[in-house]
Amino acid sequence: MELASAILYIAGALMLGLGAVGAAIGVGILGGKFLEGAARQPELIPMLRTQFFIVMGLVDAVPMIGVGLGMYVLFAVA
Amino acid sequence: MLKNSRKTRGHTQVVRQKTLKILFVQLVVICCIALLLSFKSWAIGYSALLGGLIYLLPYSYLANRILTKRRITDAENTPNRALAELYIGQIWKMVITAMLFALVFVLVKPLSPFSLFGTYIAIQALGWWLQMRADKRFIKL
Repeated sequence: MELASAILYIAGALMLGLGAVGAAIGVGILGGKFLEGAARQPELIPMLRTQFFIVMGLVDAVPMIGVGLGMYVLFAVA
Repeated sequence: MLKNSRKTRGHTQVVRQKTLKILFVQLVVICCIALLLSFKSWAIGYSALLGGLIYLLPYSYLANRILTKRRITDAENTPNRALAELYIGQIWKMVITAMLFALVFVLVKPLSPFSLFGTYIAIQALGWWLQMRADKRFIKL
């Protein structure tokens, strides 16, 4: 029983951690491209901000599902 | 340059209106799903409602923060400042989402996880589909 509980905690931690790694890579690339675009054409910053907002919704969707599943494993199952 | 700046600010307002419409449609769909599922079981119905709201509340916060019409001076309109604001908004969105998930899992019992996560994922997919449908040039990839 203790081993099963420990494995569940490890599973939850992996879900949260790997989700965070994926989100960090995606958001980092996105931020870098935002800075490149804004440095080239500063007058386009408002437009780039809205594009950033939209693409951010795509980037962080799957990691947040992973966070939710990890929370469920940690709080409700384990 | 000033003309371009006004044009891009107008773009922000257009995106804001489209985002508000998308949020409204998502809210209506969440209520419909919760209502339909509550006929099957009360716990499944409110789990679906909670799953949808866990997605919708942080997203609304971020949309309000980023797309709000406000006066920005030229000194504040630097790329670094704009990116920092976007990152701060995104971090708060993630924190709010994680807190809502934790609160629901700790406080709400009984809970139907399939209903909760199913609605959460379905509303996200609906948001992507609505964004694509709203305007084919909405995302300029």
